[in-house]
Amino acid sequence: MRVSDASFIRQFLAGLRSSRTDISRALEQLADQKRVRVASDDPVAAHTSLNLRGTAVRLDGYIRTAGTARFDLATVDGVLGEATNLVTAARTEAMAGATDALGDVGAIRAETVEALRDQLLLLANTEQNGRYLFAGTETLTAPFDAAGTYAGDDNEVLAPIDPKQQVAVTLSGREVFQGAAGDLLQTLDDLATALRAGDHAAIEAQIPVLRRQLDHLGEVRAEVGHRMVLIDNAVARNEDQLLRLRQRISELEDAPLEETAVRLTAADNQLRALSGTASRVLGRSLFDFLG
Amino acid sequence: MSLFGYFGLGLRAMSAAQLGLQVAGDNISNATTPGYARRRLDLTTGYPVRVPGGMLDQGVQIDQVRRQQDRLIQAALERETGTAAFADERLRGLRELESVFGTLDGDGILSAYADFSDAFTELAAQPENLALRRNALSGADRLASRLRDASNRLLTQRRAENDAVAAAVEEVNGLAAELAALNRKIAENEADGTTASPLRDQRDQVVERLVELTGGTAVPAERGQVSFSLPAGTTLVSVRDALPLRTSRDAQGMLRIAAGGDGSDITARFRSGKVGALLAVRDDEIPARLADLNDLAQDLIDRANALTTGATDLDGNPGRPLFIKIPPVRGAAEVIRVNVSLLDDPRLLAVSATGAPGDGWIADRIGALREGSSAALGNTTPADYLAGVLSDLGAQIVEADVASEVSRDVVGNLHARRESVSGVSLDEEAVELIRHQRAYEAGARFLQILNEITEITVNLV
Repeated sequence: MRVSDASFIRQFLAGLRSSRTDISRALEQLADQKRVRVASDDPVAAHTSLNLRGTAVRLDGYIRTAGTARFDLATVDGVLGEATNLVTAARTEAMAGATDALGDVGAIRAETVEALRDQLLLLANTEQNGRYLFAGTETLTAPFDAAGTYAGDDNEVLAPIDPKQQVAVTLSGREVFQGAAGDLLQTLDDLATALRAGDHAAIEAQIPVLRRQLDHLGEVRAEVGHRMVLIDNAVARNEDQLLRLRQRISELEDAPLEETAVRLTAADNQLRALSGTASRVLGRSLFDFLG
Repeated sequence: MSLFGYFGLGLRAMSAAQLGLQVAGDNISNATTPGYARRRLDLTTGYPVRVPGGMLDQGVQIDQVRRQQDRLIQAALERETGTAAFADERLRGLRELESVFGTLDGDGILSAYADFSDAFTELAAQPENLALRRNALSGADRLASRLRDASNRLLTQRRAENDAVAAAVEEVNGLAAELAALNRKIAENEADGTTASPLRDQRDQVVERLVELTGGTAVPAERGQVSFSLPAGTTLVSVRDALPLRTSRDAQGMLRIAAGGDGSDITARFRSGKVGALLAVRDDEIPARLADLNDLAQDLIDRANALTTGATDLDGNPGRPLFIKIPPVRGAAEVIRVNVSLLDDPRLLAVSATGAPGDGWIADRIGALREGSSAALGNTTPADYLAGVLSDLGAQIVEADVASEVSRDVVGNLHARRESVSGVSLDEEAVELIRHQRAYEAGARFLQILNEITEITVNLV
C-alpha cells in the first residue's frame, strides 16, 4: 500500500489523541480517585450505587431520629424513677402514719404527702423540646391540671427508628398515673386527708394501693427500658449496615490508587513512544539527502 | 524531418520536464492541504513520422494533468462521514444531557429526595416541633427546586440544540449554493475535455461537509457535475440549482425544516449527519428525560398532596396541599413549588392523622414516599425510577460511545485508503523532481548538440 505523508500525520494524530485521552482520564481519576463519577462511567455500578447512596442517607436519618427518641425516653425513664421515689416516700409516710399516736404529727405528714403530690403533678407535666411527654399525642397541652384531671389522649407519638420499626416516645399520662393501679394523685390526696384526720384504718387502706402503684410504675419503667433497648439495637444494626453500605459504595465508585497509577504510566509510555517515533519519521524525507 | 524540426522535439522534451517539475511542486506545496488529491502528469508519444528505416515518434506530448482519485473510496467515505458525524454529535448531546443530572455524589435530585424523606421521617417523631417542621419544608423546597433546575437545564439545552440546528441548516444552504456554483464552473472549465482538478478538489470538500451535516448523498450527473440529495430523497442541489431548505418555528420556538422544492416538512427525516443527531437529541432524548422528570414530579405532587390534604395541621385545621404548580398547565417538574403559605407558617403543614399535634403518622407516610412503589411510575419507587433513568442514560452513552468509536475507526480506515491513492508522498515527489530535472537537463543537452550540428552545417555554406 502507498503511504502518503498525510496518512502518516493522520495516524500519528489519532494515536496521540487516544493516548492523551487515556492520560486525561487517568489524571481525573487520580484527582478524585473515582472510577465511576457519572452513570455513563459504569451504568450498572451507578444504578446500584445510587440506590445504596439513597439508603445510606435514609439510615443516617433513622439513626438521628433514634437518637432523639432515645433522649426523650431517657427523660421519661428519669421521671418515672423520680415518681417511684416520691411514691415510696409517700408509702413510708403512710406506714409511719398508720402507727402514729394522735396529734400534730398527722398534719405534718399530711403536708409532706401533699408536697409529694404536687411534685408528682409537676413530673407528670414534664416538658421536653416544647412537648409534654405524658400527654399521649396531645403533646402541646399540659396533661394534668391542678385537680389532676387528664387532658391528653391515650395514643403515643411514634418515632421511626428503622424502615420497618417505630417506637413510642411519649406515654399516655392516664395509663401511667391513672391506670390499672388507680389514680395515683387521688391516692395521695386520700392519704393526705386520712393522715390529717388521723384515720388509721383509712391510712392503712392506702398502703397496699401505694404498693400496687409502685408495681405499676415499675412495669411502665420496664416497658420504657425495653423501648430503649429496641432503639439501641436498631441504631447498632443501622450503623453496622451504614458502614457496609459505605464500603460497598466505595468498592463500586472508587478507583484504587495503584491501578490508576499503573494506567497513567502505561498511557504516558505510549505517548512518549509515539512522539519519539513521530519526530523521527515525520522529520525525515528524501529531500534531506538532495543537493 | 528537417534538421530544424528537431529543435521542436527538444523544446517539447524541455516543456514536458518543466511541467513535470511544476506538477511535483504543486503536489509538494499541497502535501498537507485538506481535500487535495495528488496530480499526475500523463505523457504520451508524439505523432509518428516516416523516417528512413521506418516510423519514429515526434518526441513527447503532454496528454493531461490527472487528479488521482478512487471514486469508490470517495463514495464510501462520504457515506460513512454522515454516520460518524451523527454518532459523534449524538454522543456529545447525551453527555451534555447527563451533566444536567450531575455526578453520583453530587447534590442532585436523588440526594434531595433522600434528604426530603429524611426530614419528614424525623418530623414524624416530633411533629409539633417547629424547627423540624421548617426543616421538613425546606427539604421539600430543595427537592422542588432541584426538579425545577434539572428541568430548566434540559429546556435550556433543548434551546441550544435548536440553535445549533438553525446554524447547521444555514450552513447547509450556503454549501448548497456553493455546490451549485462549483458545478457550473466545472462544466464550463471541462468543456474542452480536460479535468478542472482544483475545482473538483473544492467540490469534494463541499460535498464532504454537506454529508457530514446532513447525511445525504452526492449523485454523479453529466459533465462531471453532481447533484445532492438529503436522506429520504429530498433534493438539495439539482446539478446547477440549489433548492435551499426552508425553515419555520413551531409554537415552542423549535425549528421545523421544509424541503426547498415542494415545501414539505422533512424535519423527522434527518436520521444521519450532524443535523440528524441534533434533532434526535432535541426531539427525542431531551423530551424523554423531561417526561421522566415530569412523571416523577407529578407523582410526588399527587401522593404528597393526597396525604397532607387528608391530614390536620398543628392547629387542628384541615391540611393544605404540600406542593403546588405555578402556572398549573406546564410540565410538573418545571413548575413544582412548595405551597408558599406553608413556608410562611410551618404550623399549617398538616402531618397529623388524628388531629392531635403529637401524631406524625402522615409525616412518616410522606417520608416513606421515596421507598413506596407508585403505579404512576410503572410500579417502581421514585428512588429506583430516577436511578433507572440515570443508569439508562449512562448505558445509552456507553452504547453511543462505542458507535462513535466504531464509525471513527471506519472513517479513519477509509481516509487511510483514500490517502494511499490521493495523498502526496514527499519521497515520491522528490524522486519525481530528480527525474524531471534530469529529463530537462537531457533535453537542454540535446538542443545544445543540435545547435552545434546546425552551426557546422551552416559553416559548410
